[in-house]
Amino acid sequence: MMFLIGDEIPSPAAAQTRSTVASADAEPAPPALPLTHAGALPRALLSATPELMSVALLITAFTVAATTLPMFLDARYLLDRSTVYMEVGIMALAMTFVIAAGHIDLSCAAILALTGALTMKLHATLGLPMLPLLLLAPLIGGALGAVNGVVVARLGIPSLVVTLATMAGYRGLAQALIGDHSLPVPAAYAGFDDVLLAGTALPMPVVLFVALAIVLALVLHKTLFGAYVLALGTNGEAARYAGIPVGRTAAGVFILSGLAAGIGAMMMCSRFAFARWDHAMGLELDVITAVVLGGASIFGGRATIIGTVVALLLIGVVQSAMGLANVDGEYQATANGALLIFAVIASNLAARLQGRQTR
Amino acid sequence: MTTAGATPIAEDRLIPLVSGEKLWKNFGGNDVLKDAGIELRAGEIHAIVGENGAGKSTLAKIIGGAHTPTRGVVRVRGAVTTIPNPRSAIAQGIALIHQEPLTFPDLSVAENIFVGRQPTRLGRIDWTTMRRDATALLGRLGARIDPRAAIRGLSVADQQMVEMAAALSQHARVFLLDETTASLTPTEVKELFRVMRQLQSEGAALAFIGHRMEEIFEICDRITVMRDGEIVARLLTRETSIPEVLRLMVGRPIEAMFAKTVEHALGPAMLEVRALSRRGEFRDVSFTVHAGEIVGLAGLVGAGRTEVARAIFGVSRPDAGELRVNGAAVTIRSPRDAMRLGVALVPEDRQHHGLLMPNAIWRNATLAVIRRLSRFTWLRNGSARRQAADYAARLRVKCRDVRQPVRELSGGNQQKVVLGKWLMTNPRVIILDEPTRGIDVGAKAEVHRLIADLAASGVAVLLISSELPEVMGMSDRVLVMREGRLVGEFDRATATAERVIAAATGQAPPAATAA
Amino acid sequence: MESTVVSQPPMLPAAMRRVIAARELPILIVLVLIVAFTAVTEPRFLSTDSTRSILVSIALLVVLAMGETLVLLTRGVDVSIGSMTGLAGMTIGILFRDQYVENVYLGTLLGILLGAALGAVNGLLVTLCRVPPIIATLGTMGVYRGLTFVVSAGRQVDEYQLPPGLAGWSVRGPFGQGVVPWVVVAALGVAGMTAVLLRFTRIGRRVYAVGGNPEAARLRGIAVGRVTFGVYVFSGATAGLAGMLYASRLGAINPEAIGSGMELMAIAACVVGGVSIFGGSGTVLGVLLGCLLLGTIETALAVLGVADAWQKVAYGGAILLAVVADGIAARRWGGSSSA
Repeated sequence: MMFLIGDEIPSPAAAQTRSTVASADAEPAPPALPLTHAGALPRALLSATPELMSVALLITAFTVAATTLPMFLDARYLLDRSTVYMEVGIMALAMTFVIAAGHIDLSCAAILALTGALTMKLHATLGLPMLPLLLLAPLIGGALGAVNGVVVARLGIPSLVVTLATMAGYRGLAQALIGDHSLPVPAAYAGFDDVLLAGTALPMPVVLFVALAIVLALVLHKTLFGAYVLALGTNGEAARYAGIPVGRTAAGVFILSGLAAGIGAMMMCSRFAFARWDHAMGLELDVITAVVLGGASIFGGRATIIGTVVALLLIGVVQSAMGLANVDGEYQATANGALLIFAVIASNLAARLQGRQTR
Repeated sequence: MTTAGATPIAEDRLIPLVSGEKLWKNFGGNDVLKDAGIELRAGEIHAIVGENGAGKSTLAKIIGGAHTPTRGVVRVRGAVTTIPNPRSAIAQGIALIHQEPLTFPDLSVAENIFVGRQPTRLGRIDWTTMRRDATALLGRLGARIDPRAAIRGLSVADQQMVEMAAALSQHARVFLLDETTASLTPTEVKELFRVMRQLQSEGAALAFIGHRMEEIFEICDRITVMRDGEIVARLLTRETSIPEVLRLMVGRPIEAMFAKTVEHALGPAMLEVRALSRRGEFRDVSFTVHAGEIVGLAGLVGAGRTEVARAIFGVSRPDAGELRVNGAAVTIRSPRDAMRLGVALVPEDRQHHGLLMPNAIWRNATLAVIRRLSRFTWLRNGSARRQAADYAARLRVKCRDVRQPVRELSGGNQQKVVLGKWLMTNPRVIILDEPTRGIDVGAKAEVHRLIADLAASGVAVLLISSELPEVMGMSDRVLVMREGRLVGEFDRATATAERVIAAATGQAPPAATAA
Repeated sequence: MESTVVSQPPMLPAAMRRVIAARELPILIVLVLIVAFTAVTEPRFLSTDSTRSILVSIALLVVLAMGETLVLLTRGVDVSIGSMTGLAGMTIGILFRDQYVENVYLGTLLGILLGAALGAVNGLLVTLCRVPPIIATLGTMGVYRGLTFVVSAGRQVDEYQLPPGLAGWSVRGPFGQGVVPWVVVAALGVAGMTAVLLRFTRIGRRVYAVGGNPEAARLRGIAVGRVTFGVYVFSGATAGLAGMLYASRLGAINPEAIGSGMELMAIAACVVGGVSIFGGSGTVLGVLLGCLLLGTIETALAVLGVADAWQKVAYGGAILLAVVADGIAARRWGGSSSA
């Protein structure tokens, strides 16, 4: 009944006389496989299709804007505009990890608001000095992210649902904490976005973003944690069987996302000069848009920091151009949404063409 | 075709219900089917056999509408037709039953049978009629399944019955059974065969794709043998024999498949399992594997062997029992713990547990040792690639280079990548769960050679396999599990096929139990 | 042929098991507890006005949640329903304001049709262009919200610009000026229709089949693409209707506020009501109870004098509690049988 191909059962004695093993060993080992070959570069390029799509869009948008809007190439204007977007940018860098791990974090903007509210409340009521609070803020954000991480990793509940819940919960806590009014930050601390890096025209938020982008790019692509994240997003079960600490990795990406939101909180409070419970309302969607526009697969396993950065640039260019062309800020959502859909459809098409080529 | 199960008409005996002529199928530049022809006649059960990759499933899927042929003609009752999709196949009376039943877990049995065609009254679904019809259909198959039950929680065998009932309800006259017995117990196989005979007596044509020769010779009237996409023989079962079919399938002598090296001295006990239990899975399992020893773990699918392996490796937590690795009592909470102790597991399900399919060979091969290959969290990909290339060459993985995604490799080569991944961890204990499932004969021999080499180098090997010849050929000792318990232990001298089967099925008391 | 007779398993145990295992039961219990506790501490909670206010606010949620339920059942998600509500509501509001349309019912019909058209765009993106649902609807969420500003030029449509009958829908009902205004009747109508669709029509059962096992659905001859497309159209249509209910309830249509954040509330109601975000399982009754529970929590807290902010926290807590309980239940019952 259980017999499969090869019904004859070799007797132990017969098996011993068959010495295929010995003879196979005697053969010279085949030469090691070549690591590279002629087709490597084109294939590498093709496999980066989603990112290329964003780059192409970026170049197009930039060219169109530069040729039609005379003010557009003013570097100072661009840099000044970009500071508005740096909180989203930093959260998007962290969200790249979350999405790479096959998860999603809808609560990041709520974490930003709650962290801002909490730090400013600590300052206002307990009189804690700002400097330690600046360092504490990312930790608060990280702790709030850890709640998501633990629930997702321990209980195995889909992150979409968990972070949907904490999104409402954190937002409510922020409001409960400071009410409906703005809580001002000390004057000395306001206006971080107007400070330039010494000797350059670079505003500090941009400097911080670039530094974080470089660090996180290295973390995602060159460190163990990054490899764990990508393995988790590709196939969580296989990653677990290979001894990868999948629970800790999943918790890690949510902590990272919270941490970034904590940094974003300090930047936003400084930029507006006050904390509010409805800070960054709805920005989680901008953050996710940026990451997906940057070529990350929403199913996990494939994402690059450079892609996210390009996508942020693209959104920034479009936003700046629209600002110059006197288009209302409200239409920004339309542009972002259209960009997102267009980029995904285009890279789908490219992938299909590519598939036809190799098949 | 209006009344299903009508008495077979005389002409059905002459004109095949379905036939394929000169069928070709090309996938990614490879011809997986070359000039294949087949005729399925009313009232006949027709086996299609061949090694993995021989093209049996492709042939069945073309007739079942899941694939379209690159070239060739399909006829239904003698008339040329096209079967662009499964929907069209079923409309023409052809049903394809899969190894993994394609059912809807949250819907009831009755709905699974009638999905998309539920009986309605005044535009509303008539649940009463639907249940009654389902009961009648299941009754015709002799299946005792409650039509109101949810599919979730039904056995694979019962789900297959539901699929057959669904096919019957659509007046199918041709049933293509693609490896349907692979995950059934012997009792369930008997039940399936009874249903197949019932359908046969009603004048249906059945194609049976399988690996188990005894089953094929028990149930089938005709055998079509395939090799490398071609039909190599069309035989009547009563005029042929198992060895002949096997010879035709393989196309070369099938000796030298199982290669256990010469006896060598056993080392100390490396893996000791004492009274291990996990509720609902296995109970009171105790055994020891020594360094340099291959211990086979035989049993039917579902006997609890994979579950024991998972518990040892820390994928699941046992409720009770003790584990010792290299003489020391240990607690293993996760695969990570197991790996730290030098225990490795090559899982049964390559795709879901073994590999990151879209990733490169080198990433997969080095995944388990990624920590060792990094320096202070910093990955050293160059060195990882070199090591992976080294292993790939040693294991003779056929690939362009180690940057190729494993998804593009054949089953055998994928398995070698999984093996390579665990060999890189330099394990002291390795558990192999069905290491040769779904790979071709050539790769199989290479895997067997590897296992033997591992044992020779002093690794303790626990080999779980449902292929009796493999377990018996490779193992120094054979353990047998049945219904979650260890029921027999045989050394090389006492292990015979009859005894192992008897222990596995519980049909007769095990003849010899050596401590 | 009919040689064997299947013995009919006894009826009672199955029925009993169904009641005990019903996903709806715990929600109902929690709901009753909340209502009882609030009513005891604050009797005016059960007053006509209070009840009507709960029901009117829930009506909007129910309508949207019905659309979302269908989408979730097919393993999709529609985060654009808030924006579709906004765009459809705003557009019809402008048609009313500029007196292109004066009949309220015609306007509502147009709103539903417009919503369906917007949903069809989602459906095409998901089926034809194979954009993952979350991405497609995330994109259109932005596009539609922006278009709401385009059509309205950022200006609000005020109460006097809307047909006078519209606001009355939220006050008067078939039984006069009572607890059950027309808005609630409409919501119940949509829920009833959805329930019948899902339970008693082939189309509805196909929705479950597609979500339960898309591959099997395809092989069993179900036009998966058409079903998927259909649920997004339905979701759009419910959003269109919700736009009108919104206008009725608030009296005015603000381009920024209308429908904003509703997508998350609707998803929350579905999840609390036991719809699996992995598709294939969930009932209208459960979703109704989910809406009722979330709406009641909101009002109960307000009546008990708890700040608006804590309502959000309770909201989040309810979602978490529901899914955690589901997860544990699945591990206890589903886990052992599948092993």
